[in-house]
Amino acid sequence: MSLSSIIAILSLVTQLSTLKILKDKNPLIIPNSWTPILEGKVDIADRKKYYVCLSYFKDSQTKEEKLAYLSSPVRFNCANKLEKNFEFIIPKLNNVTFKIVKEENTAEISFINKGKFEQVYIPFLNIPLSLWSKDETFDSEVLASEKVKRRFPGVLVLPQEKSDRKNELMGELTDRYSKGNTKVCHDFNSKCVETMAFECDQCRYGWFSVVGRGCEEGTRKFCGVDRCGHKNEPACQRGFIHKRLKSKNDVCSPESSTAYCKNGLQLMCNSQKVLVCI
Amino acid sequence: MKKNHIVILFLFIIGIGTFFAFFNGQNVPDTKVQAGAGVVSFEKVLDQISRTWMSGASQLEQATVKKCTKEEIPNTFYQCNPDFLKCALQDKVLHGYRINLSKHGKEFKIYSKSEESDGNWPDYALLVELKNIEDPKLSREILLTDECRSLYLPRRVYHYGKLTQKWNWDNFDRHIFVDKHVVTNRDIREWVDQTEVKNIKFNESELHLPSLYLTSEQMENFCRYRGKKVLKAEVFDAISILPFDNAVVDRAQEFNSIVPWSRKEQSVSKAWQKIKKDPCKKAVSSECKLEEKELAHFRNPSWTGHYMVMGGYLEYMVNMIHPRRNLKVSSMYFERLSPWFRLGERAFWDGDGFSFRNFNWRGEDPLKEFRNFGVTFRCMKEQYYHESF
Repeated sequence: MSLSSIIAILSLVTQLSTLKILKDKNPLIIPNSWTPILEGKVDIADRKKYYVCLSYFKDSQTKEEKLAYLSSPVRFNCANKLEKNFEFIIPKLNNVTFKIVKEENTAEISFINKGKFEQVYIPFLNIPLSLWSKDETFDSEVLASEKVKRRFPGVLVLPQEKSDRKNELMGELTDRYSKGNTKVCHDFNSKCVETMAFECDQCRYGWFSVVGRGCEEGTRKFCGVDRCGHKNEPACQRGFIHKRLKSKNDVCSPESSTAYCKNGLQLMCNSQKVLVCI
Repeated sequence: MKKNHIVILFLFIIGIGTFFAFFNGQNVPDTKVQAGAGVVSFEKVLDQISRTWMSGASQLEQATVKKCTKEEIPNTFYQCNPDFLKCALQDKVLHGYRINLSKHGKEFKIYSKSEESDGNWPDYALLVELKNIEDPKLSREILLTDECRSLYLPRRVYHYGKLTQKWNWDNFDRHIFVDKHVVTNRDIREWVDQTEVKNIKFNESELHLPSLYLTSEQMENFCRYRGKKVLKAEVFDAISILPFDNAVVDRAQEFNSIVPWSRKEQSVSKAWQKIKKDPCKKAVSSECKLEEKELAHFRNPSWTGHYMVMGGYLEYMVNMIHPRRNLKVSSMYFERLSPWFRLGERAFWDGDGFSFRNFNWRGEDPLKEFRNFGVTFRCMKEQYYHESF
């Protein structure tokens, strides 16, 4: 496997839309097993998510080291993949080290390949610089946001491979909460535990929040055109301070100041604990 | 120890030290590749495109500036502007990549989530093709998102309406972005070209000027194409009324700013009297020159950096709190001492037409020479993050 091939394949990680850096120094190597050193998620054009993994293996007896790369449409445990499932493996390496060079927004992998000391820099073209400070997973709605500065402001590099599959964007222009045909895209239960992760970036015509649970953790959201305040539609958000002024039980009541309706309409708490305008 | 032995020992120590120094220096690799020369060139292209897209004409050579811009039009118009980018970069070769914006017979291709069948794109983005002239396999496509147009609304408690109104709200549980300036004819032409929407009136020869003849429904449709919605009245007040105290964000303070440039004035006439220099630099009224009126939408930024929150053109906004107060009226149709030149005051527009009878001026009519009007608008967006930045 030539170095240029390695680089070409590894540069696929530049399209990562979420990235979990497992270690930013040399990973803790567990002998005789694959140690993940980078795993992430790539959003391809058909909205399908591909999971990618870069792993390292060291044989405790022979001291042989290997690097392996895998991408899969199915979420998998990066550490447990069998060798035969990796897309490519660079065998017979020595002294593999891996680190993220935060200032340059790159990953740096060094190793000895056939007696030569080599280093590969993989630039993360779509990953914002500001996100390197935390060792966490970052979701696509953050990376698509206008507040987060990308490495090249305004630029999103597309994957080279695209699919012909149709989109799975949610919602129609005619959907209305009052008709009961809007789709939930982010949800919390009565104990304010998130029961559905934020997926509202998949709403074709935007999304809107509803008020009623009084959760500081967030609001329930639906796909669709925001018609808050209109008759039979959810009331408009008035803000967090207003939620905190009342106990959670008082949030969903006609006297609530946490939401408002179009002039002339009244607030009402419906059976789904949503403040609507009637 | 004999002298010879000392010398030998000394040389041995030097030798050992040199040996270890040599091996410590072995951190320098034999091959140090920045992910391939191809990627380095690609990064340079991205950097140059990003700068041109975000900075407009300010970073280009004179010949391109002369060809692609007009001197009298502020540079903000050319930032994140597909027409400008096409003029500046189409068919140019940068670091081995030829730039192409044209697609499917159109001048350029805009991805709008509301229009596309491909999923998971940003709400609105311009497609650019980068063709590697030596190796076509290294060609790539990128999307350019509009990060120039909107500004973040700081998270705090805000006041809505006139000073006497006690209506507050806050945005601690969401992120709000508001467009810096109103929608232009260029924006509308792009929308019409990309989506083939019908019956849209705009001025094709003055693309830098505001769009003036969309109905309120058409305005909503345009903002939706951009992944946004028409500005709300309470958010307009947030970007125009100076907070009582910038440092205090979580209490409903008294807001007493009646003009966007001062929080102290209680009287509009006194506020104007205190302006030593050209008052048209604070807000454009009927007294101002024609060129100041035309470009009013690129002038007079508020405390948040948003243009034209007072004076200039009429501006429509959605108002659920008081539905018949949906129009910012301070404009070139009134003198600056008119009662309309006061923050929080609004009139009504029916959203359908542009003659005198389509408006309710609440007893304070515009100057007699004006009986037909244009109405501008701008878009806003709310976003959600599960953590703050």
